[in-house]
Parts: sequence; C-alpha cells; structure tokens
Amino acid sequence: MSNENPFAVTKAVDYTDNQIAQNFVSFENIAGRPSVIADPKNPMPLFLVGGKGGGRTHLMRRMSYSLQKLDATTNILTKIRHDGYVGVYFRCSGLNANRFAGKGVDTSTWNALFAYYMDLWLTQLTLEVAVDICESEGVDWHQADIATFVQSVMDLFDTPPEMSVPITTAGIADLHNVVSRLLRELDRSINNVALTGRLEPVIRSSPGRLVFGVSKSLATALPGMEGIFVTLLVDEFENLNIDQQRYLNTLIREREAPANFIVGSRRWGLRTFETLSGGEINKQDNEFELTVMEDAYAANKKSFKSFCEDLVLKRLQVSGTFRNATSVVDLFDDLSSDKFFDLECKALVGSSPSCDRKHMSSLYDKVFDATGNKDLAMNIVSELEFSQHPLLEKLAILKFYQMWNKSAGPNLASAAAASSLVASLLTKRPQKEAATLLGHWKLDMLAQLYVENDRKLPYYGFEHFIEMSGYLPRNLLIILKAITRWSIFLGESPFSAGTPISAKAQSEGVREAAAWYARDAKPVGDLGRNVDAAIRKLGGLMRRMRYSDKPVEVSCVTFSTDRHGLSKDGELCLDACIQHGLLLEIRDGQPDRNSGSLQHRYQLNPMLAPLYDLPTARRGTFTLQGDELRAIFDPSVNHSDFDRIVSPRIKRMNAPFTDFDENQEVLF
Amino acid sequence: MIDYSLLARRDVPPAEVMHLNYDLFISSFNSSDRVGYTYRNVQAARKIWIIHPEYQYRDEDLPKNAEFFRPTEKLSVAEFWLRFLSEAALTQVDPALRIAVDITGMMRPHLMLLPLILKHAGVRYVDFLYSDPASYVAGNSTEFARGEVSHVAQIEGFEGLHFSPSERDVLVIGAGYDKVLVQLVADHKRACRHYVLLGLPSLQPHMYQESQLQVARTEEWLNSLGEDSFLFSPANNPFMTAQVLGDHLSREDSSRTNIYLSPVGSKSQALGFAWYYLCEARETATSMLFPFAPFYSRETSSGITRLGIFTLELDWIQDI
Repeated sequence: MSNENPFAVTKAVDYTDNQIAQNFVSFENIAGRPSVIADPKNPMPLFLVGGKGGGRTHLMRRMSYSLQKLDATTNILTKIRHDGYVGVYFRCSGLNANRFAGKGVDTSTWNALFAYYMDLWLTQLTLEVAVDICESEGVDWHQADIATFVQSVMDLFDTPPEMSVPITTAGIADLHNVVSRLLRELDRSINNVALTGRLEPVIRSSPGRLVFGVSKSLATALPGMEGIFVTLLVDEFENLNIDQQRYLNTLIREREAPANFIVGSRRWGLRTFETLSGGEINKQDNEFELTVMEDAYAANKKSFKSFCEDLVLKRLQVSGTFRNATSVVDLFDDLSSDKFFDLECKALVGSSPSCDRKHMSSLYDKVFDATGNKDLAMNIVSELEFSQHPLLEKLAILKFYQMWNKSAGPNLASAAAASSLVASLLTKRPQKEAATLLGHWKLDMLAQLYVENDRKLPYYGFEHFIEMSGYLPRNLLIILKAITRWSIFLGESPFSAGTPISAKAQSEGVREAAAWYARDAKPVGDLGRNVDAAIRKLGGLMRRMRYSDKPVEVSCVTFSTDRHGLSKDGELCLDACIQHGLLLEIRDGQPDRNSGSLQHRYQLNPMLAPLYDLPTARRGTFTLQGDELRAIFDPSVNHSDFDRIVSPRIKRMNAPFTDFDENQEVLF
Repeated sequence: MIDYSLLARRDVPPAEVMHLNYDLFISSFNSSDRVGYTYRNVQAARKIWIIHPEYQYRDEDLPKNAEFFRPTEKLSVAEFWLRFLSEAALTQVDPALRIAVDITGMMRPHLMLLPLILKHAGVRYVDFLYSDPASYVAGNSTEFARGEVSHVAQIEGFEGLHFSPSERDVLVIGAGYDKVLVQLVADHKRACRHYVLLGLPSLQPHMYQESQLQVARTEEWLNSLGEDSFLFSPANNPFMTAQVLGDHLSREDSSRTNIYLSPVGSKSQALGFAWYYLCEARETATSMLFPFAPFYSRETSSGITRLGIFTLELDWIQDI
C-alpha cells in the first residue's frame, strides 16, 4: 500500500512548469469543446477573478511563455506564431509594492515612482522573454534586426540610460541588463529613503511609453513576431493598493496593440476601476471583460462535474497511485441506504425500545411541560411510535409538532393523524402529503438523529465533495487530501482497486477541510475578526434552526435579505463575507412581493457547512431583515445580544412554539 | 563565509544581573516580570525606557521617575529610532560608551533595525540582552499579537533588490508559537519554496514540541512541507541562527533567486535573522518580511530563567 497522497499538492504555485503542463485539465463546455474562459488573443482586456483555488493562477501560467516553450514541438517562434500571442506572466507580489508608501514621502511622489517602476518591471519581463526566444534553437534573428529593436526601445526613454556596448552590436540581453540596472538603482533609492530621508529618482520615460513601446518594437523589428499579441498576464492584482491599481487600470484603458492584458485577482482584491485618465472609470464590457471563475464553472454544472472527475483521475494516474482508475465515484464508500435509512437509524438509536429513544423522551418532556398531563404525554409517545423505522418516528413527530403549532396545543387527535399519515408510507399507496413530507424532510430528520444521539454527522460521496467545493477546484483537492490522509491513518488502502475509502475517513477529512477553509478564507485585520464573528453567528443560527423541533425551511443554508438598516460596518462585514467566499451570492434576486424591495440571496459557503452540522446542498431559504440582520453582521452587537434578538425565531420553532418571553428587552 | 561563532555571547543567571554595568541601558517597557527585573537590576548611569504604541499603555501605566521615549504620532520603524536618537541626544555617540539594549520587550522590526541605526550613530559595540521566560502564559496557544494582523510587508531597511519572481524563490520563516503569523507570511509569498527554522534546543524543553505542533497546523499554507523543509538553530543564540541562515542560503543561486526571510519566533531568533541580513545580505535580492499587527500583548510570559548577552560588533555590518 502506498502512503503517497496524490492530492498533496493543492496549489498551482507548488507546481513546476512541467507539472503544470502534466496535470492541466481543460474545462470543457457542455458540447464537449474546450471552454474558453480566457483567450490571450482577445484584444479586449480581461479580469479573471474569483476565490482562492479557482484555477486562475493555473490557467494563467498555462498561457505563459514558459509553458508555450514546453509545448513547442518545433521551434518556439513557430509555436508563438501558431498561438498568435506570447504570454508574459508575472505576480504582483514580486513588486513588493508595500514599500511605495510612507517613509516621509508624499503619496503623489510614490505614485509617480511606482508608475515608472511598473513600466520598467513589465519591460524587463518582456525583454526576458525576448532574450529567451532569441537564444532558442531555430531562431535566427540577425544582428541588424536586433540592433533596430534595441534602438527603438532606447528611443522610448526621454533620457536614455547609458549602455555599456554600442547599440549596433548590442544584444537583447544587453538591453535587459540596462533595464535591470535602472530597476536596481530605483530599488536602492526606495530602500534607503527611510535612513537617508531623500528620494530623488530619475524618471526617464513617460507613463506607459515603455510598456507599449517595447511590445510594438518586438512585433515590428523582430522577424516572426509580426501580428503577435504580447499578452501581459498580471496575477495577484490584489497585492496592489488602490493608487497602484489606478495606474494599471490606466494602462489597460490606454493600451496600444500589440500589448494586451489578462489580470488575475481575488474578488476582494479589485479595489477600483478608476484610472488616471481625466478621472475616467473603466467599465465592464467597454474597457474590459470580467470573468468570475466560479460563475464560469457554475454555468456548466455537468461540465464542472466532469472536470472534477478528470482532475481526480489525472492525479491518480500521474502519481502512479491508481493508474487504471476510470471511475471516481467508486473510490469512495457510501452508507448503503434503504428508503427509510433503517439500518443507519437503528445503529444510531441502539436497541432500546422506542419510548426510550432520545427523540421520544424529548417529545414526552415537551408535551408534559406544556400540559402537565403524564398520561397524555405517554399516549402521544405511544401513538407516534414506529419502532422498526426510527426515521418515520421523527417524521411523525415533526408532523405532530406542525399540527401542534397550528392548533391550541398538543392533543391525541393530532398525534393519531400524524401517525396515520406517516404510516401510509409503509403501504403500497402512500398519501401524497406523506411522500412530500418524506421527500422534503428525510435528510434533516436523519441529521437530527445523528446529533441527538451524540454522533458526528457523516459527510461522504464524491458528489457531495463537488458540491462542497463551491466551484473552487482547490477546495475539492483539499477535501481529497484530508480524506486520503485520514484513510491512511485509519489503516485503509485508499485508491486501491476494490477497497473504497470508508465513510468515516471521508467524514473526518471533510471536517478537517472545513476547519482549514474557515481559517484560510478569513480576511486579514479587524475585518477578519468581524467576518469570523458574523459567520459564527449565522452558522450557529442555521444550526439551531435545523435542529429545532419544527424547522421551517428544508435543509436551510440560504437566507434572503433586502440589506436595509445595516450600519456602514455591517455592510462592510456582509460584503467582506461575500468577497472572501464565506457567503456565496445566489444571483437571482427577486423583488419582494409585498415591499417591492430587491431581495438578495446568500448561501453559507458549503465548505463551512460541516462546522455547523449543516447540509452542503442548497434547498430552503429563510428571510433575515432588520434587527436579526444587524445582529449578525454589525460588529457592535455582541453574542449575548445576538442570542436575545434571534431568540423569538428559535422559540417559535421549538415546543411550545411561542415567542413570548417576559424578560425580553427591545434593543432597536 | 562568515564565522559568527567568533562573536561573544554569554548567559547570566538572574542573580548575577545586578553585576552588569553600562553607561547607557535601553529597554522596551512591557509588563513581563523579566523585563522589569532586568531594568531594575542592571547598573547603568543612564537608563531609558522605550514605550511602543503597540502595547497601548496609558499615561498612568508608565514608569514613574524614569526617562522614557514615547512618540506621540505614528512613526515608521526608521523614523521611530531616528526620533529616539534625536530626543535622547544620541545622534553622535562616543564609541567608548558602553551600551546595552534589552530586546526582550521590543517590537521585532525595531530590534532588527536598531543595530544599523546605532552603527550610523557611531556606535561600534553594543550588548543586546534577551531574558528567557520560565514559560509562556497560554502554552502553545500563546498569541503575542493582540487582535488581528493588519498586513504583511517588508521591514524598513531590509528591502532587497529583487529579480522578477520565479519558482526558485525562497522564503525562510523563523517559526515560534503563533501559527497564524506563520500562515500569513507563508500565504503572502505563496509562490516561494518554503523553509521553516525552528529553535532547537528551544528556550525550554517543551517549547520545541509546541512549535512543531503549531507548524503542523499550518501545513496547508506551507509549500511541500517535508523533512527537507526544516532548519534548526538554538533558540537563544542569534549568532548560530545567523550561521544556519548563512550556510543554508549560500547554497542558493544568488544571481537569480529572490530570498525572503521572516522571523516570527523568539526575539533572539529575530536578532539572528537581522544580524545575518546586515552582515551578508544587504543590497542583494533578499528582503525581510513581517506580519504587522497594530497591538501586542503586554505580558505573555512568567518568570526569568537566564539573561543572554550578545555582543554585536557593528563593524561587521556591511557598508553599502
């Protein structure tokens, strides 16, 4: 048995270029054609946006020059001509852009310096690619062409820097060295300003001139590069501050062919679309297109499922763990389930008689507390017994509670009616209402049985992992990595033929992945603390709703709201939850039929569901407005005030189903 | 290759602290036993408390009848020290002045930049002191930053001349108890090859195990964490830390590799990182990163077991 974990690597950054090429799986649309999420030859700039682990970096690196070179079967120039572009990839984190601030220097000086630095940086990167092409086998650029190229780039400088060799004999590498030297000089100035108190850089070119000029020169001076896009693949845009992003937005707005842009960013990292061009703002579909990776996947659910399966199979094959794997679903065990989950439920409740089961004891207590009548309580318990089918007992109790809520209180007639309804499920012709009751509530009632009997709710099955991933492939890989680790720890042989991974290993792995996600998705700083608190309150509320006597919405992990009445901090918090992927926005906002105000819908990210014993699939929706909404998202509302505010809702879901509380204070 | 073992260091038991004698003693004020103990017992003609705004001390909390430096506005690390030297009339120091700095309560970025600042002020030798605690108040759950980290950034004075990023780039994290700091720094430079430097021997025997546990909890943020990912140096010996860093990083291709260092463990480890950088890595493609938090806990430890004295010979710092 191999203890290798084929899912050990979950991040594109952990891969070498060879591994990117080897492990890349293309996302195909429903018709089976490669889906063009990003086209490096599209003259319209593209923002590729989404959560961590959506595949942005993977995709952008796949488009980069170094991967083009790996793919080239003849010479690189032929490959570039075939592709129609050359991809210049870089990460904004490499700029270490934080240092362009403070140190006693004013913002406008820093902004001007950053713009020049960025131009030099992009020029340096483009020249690195040009040097590599020039030195590649089969590329034969004449010195005259190279000299023309070098001269044209030097002409872009208002104040040309010195070159150590004559231009006529200069190579592209010499030009690259000049630009690198300029960058180093700037680095020295910037780094030493704290101690010297002086910042006197020499800015040698106008903003944008170098960036666009070097691309043009590449295309006009060097044979084989005519008509080729120079696509700047700008990753980790979120590492730039708002002023720095304005500059890049300006380059995008003012771009000149053949330069083009694909910008990768985390959703929360898009700080502005403003530019420095007379206050103009770049507009989506005018100056740029924007693709959210998760939305692209979600629009093609079937394709995403295939994509996930292919991803897993590829990992297994490449790692040598299970070369012959053809079906992913069979690799994971599931708890065999009959219609009423009888085996599973009996294992939960044990061999004690019905009346001793925890849900029955609870029923007894609630009826007795409401009526003071022991005989009535016992009779109701007896009436609702289904000793061989604990799930049906739960359904019957649910129906009974629903009837209790509607009538004046618990009575035997309601119990009898509920029992009779549920009993019809055991016949060949169950009542329609009973079938609906079962269809809607069976998973929630099963979950309640787990929790009531102090057992961890299981999470298993590949389909559920895909659901949990929230359309971020990395989340799927993290889940599988954790599951594999647990499986090995439990002495299993994961991914061996004929031995599926146990439900226990799957459940433990899923929980571990959920805990990781909660830590990883949180933003930095005080906002992170507020977001964490909000999600805990929301998750806790959803849990209390699901495990109440009479939950109102089926498998409820989604809420709708008009967002009214939130404080500024509350709005910030709610938006941060969305941008950082702790809440998923469901984009079907409908006007409320009473008030007409637009209702927004948000789902708790399914990656977090296991932390609160919630389902990963989305079904029912509840409404959060006013006080409750504020209590969750407003950082100034502490947990005990939050409890008091949501208490009426919870009370209405638990016997005796009233929200009257003589101690309740009005807070808002 | 520099041999850092040539530099002088010694350990002094608590009872012997009263025999230490200097012309100038500087210490960062916080509520730990060991900081107060050292300040009270070291003999010095002049003692100055540094009051870091990160500890959020109120006026009434401040030491009475003592000289202290407390800036009234937000200053960068370099500005902070330059203002201190100016206000304390130390902008040009007599090289013969015997100076000691207790870094136990000092903010890491500040203690790291201080040797360079003192060198510029004319100082040639300075003793940096660090006192070991008996234990941390919450064991392996001790958090030193209070509240959330606001951002990860380069430390002033430790910013390198970098190449364009590549898969060769390296991040070395000096890890301690605070797993969140390790996570944030690792995530900030997620495209680098990650190494983790642990204090071994640790300040107290149990602390090594606790640090390992914290690192294990950040595995998902650390790239390809395996046996080869770990470096070790004694937690209370900054010169050995500098040596380990120097030896390890000398194997990297300095003509193409960006190196990032981030000490988020003990203060003596941070000093070791800084000392390596100042002696070998200035004006290279090496930067020091730090997860900055607006506030820090005033008291995270109890007791004092020993005082380490590290004599920095500031002529060792590279001139540029």
